[in-house]
Amino acid sequence: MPKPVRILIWLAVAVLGALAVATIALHRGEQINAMWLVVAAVCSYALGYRFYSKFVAARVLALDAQRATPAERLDNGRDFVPTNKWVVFGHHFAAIAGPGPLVGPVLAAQFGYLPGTLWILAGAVFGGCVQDFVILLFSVRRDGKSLTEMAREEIGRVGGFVAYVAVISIIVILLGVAALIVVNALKSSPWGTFTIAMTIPIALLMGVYLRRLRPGKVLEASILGFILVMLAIWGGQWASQTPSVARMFTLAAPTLAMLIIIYGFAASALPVWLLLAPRDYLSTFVKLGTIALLAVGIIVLRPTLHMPPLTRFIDGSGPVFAGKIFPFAFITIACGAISGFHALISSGTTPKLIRREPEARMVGYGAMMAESMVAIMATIAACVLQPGTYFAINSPAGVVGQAPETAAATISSWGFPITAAEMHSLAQAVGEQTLYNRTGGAPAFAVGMAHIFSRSLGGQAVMALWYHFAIMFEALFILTILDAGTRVGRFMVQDALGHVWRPLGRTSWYPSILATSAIIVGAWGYFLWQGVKDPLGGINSLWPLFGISNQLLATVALCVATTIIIKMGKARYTAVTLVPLAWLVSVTFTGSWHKMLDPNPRIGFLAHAQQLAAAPPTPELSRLIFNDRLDAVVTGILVVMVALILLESTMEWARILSGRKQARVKEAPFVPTRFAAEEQA
Amino acid sequence: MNPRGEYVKVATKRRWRPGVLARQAREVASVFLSTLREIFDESAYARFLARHRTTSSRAAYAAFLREHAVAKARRPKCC
Repeated sequence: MPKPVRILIWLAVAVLGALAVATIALHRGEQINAMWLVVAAVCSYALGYRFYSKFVAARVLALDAQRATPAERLDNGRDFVPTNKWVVFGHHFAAIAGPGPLVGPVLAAQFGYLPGTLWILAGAVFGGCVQDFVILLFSVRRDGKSLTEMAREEIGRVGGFVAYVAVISIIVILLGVAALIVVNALKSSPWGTFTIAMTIPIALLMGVYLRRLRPGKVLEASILGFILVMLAIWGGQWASQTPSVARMFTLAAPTLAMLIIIYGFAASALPVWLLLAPRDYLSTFVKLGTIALLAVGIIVLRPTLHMPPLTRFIDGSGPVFAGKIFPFAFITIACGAISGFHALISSGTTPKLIRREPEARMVGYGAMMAESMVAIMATIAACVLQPGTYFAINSPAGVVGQAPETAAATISSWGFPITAAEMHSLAQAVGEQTLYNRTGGAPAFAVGMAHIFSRSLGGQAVMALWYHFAIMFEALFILTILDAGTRVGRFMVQDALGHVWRPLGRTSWYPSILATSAIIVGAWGYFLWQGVKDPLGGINSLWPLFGISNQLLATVALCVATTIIIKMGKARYTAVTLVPLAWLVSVTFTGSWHKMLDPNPRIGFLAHAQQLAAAPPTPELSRLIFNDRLDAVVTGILVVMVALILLESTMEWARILSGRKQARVKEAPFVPTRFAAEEQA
Repeated sequence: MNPRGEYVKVATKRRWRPGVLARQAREVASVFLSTLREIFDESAYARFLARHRTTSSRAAYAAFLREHAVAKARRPKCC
């Protein structure tokens, strides 16, 4: 294509993107169409990829098409395999896409659609995509080393230790919060509980099918599993309408929490092939399909956003979670904008599959753009709901009251009119007894998704099926994270304990498996139990903790990246990673300070403990006070970790820049690739 | 790398013609299927069979699962 035409096309994309962002940001009074968000996102990502990622690739990282990757040099047909870039892209996206980009934007929608959307776009283009890209490339140049190993080698022992603690913390807190989201979505919901319960025998059946009947036919087994899950959703309606069965599957939050804790322990201790692997395949299949379906639904329906761009809750008085836009919107939306957890994937399997170095740009930067687009879709799903409905679903009983009339009156008094009758008919339409106080983001997302799907496919009559499909999709997704996360955490604890007593490190020794599974499940189970018993719904206190721990891991990743860039002699380009790092540090520090010391009891853990301590003492109150203090201590530890990694990194940068230490890049030696010659031939 | 320090794109340019379009559609479908096979570990199993010069069977799949289990279980899934 001639250069002037290319320039004109990119100018048009820039103008269209600017127009869309301006419409989102400046439109007041009337409702806008969701397509403005889609257009703003697509244009921002296109420009970010074409110009910014190209700049980073060429000037900062100097991607070398002639350099062999570890997939080529160490090709063993097992871990290291040169793979087609689109295949690696799909594989990487499937690994980074989790429930985070769906839940975070839904919770942050309490501020209106504007703050979340702007943060998702800017955070992804300048932060998250860059982090994933640079960590992937640096791992590729270090034979696929993990983030923890790179932190230890490039920054120092403290860096390695902080990375290790950050990974454990994020796994434990994430699993606790994720399980809480499932509990809140399934409590008093016989339909949802029945469907999710059925996924366990379906996964076991798939495991046996793969092992005994059709060895290795995973796609076939996944399609079979998907059909069975669809039948389970349909059967859930029967279960909810048959009183004897409905009673069995109508469970209170504490019972569900106990069942999930037992399930987590069993999933960690059972053989991988029996439950973890088939569940993983099934959830990946449903995940990719549903995300594609949601994208099509939004484009076909082009829904109107009923949520205003900004709500009155930007002052920090939000019912979903307390706290002002800064820093809480930026902690609440982690995965859709920047997520430290992605650095683990970018330095895990993916670098061992990259065939050519330049492909790291499409895989690292591009897959994060796709993840960010999922977050935009989640924002749309939340904001197509009437604000009154959104707040009725997401506000805990401790804020709006227990009775439907009281809750409706409280929410209407905020300027978001809703009646108890409207909520009742919505609950009936989706096949639930009630939709009040279903905190955690998942039910609101499911209602929004059902709203979009039912208007595109099947009409109002199938709204209940779509709602339970969405609930099943999220719960399946989260339970898979629970299986996999508990096992990853178990291995990490076994690795650490193996240094103390060697048999504990043996991953096949059952006493060690049971003991370490109990440690990990006990840790996240405690957070889950705490969330279930919290009168504010738990999400208010636990989701920010998850956000802080995730951003701590991103801080580690960006510190590693900045250190390597300086060692490469590219100090003039450090702003590429230093600016997102500075932003994350300010967000993490401010967020932590508020969560620990804010005098508002709805925000600060210690203020809340103090408020509870003023009441006549009861065993229940003592437990709540202990939980608040524990959360404050955990937050404090995370802050100290951020400070330590920053201090050690800064000292390393100062030593190199002042010439006191020789900058030595610990890359694998250059070996020319044979693929370049093959492609030219 | 070119003199400006930018990496050189290796992909060759293609012309849009009816026959080419059909071929490219087939390529896209093939890449999509390969992606699914990679995500669902079918490719890893095929590589395992090739490496061990054996055919698919219960015993071969059990051996693959044993080799693959720890790697799969250690692989983090993102939030």
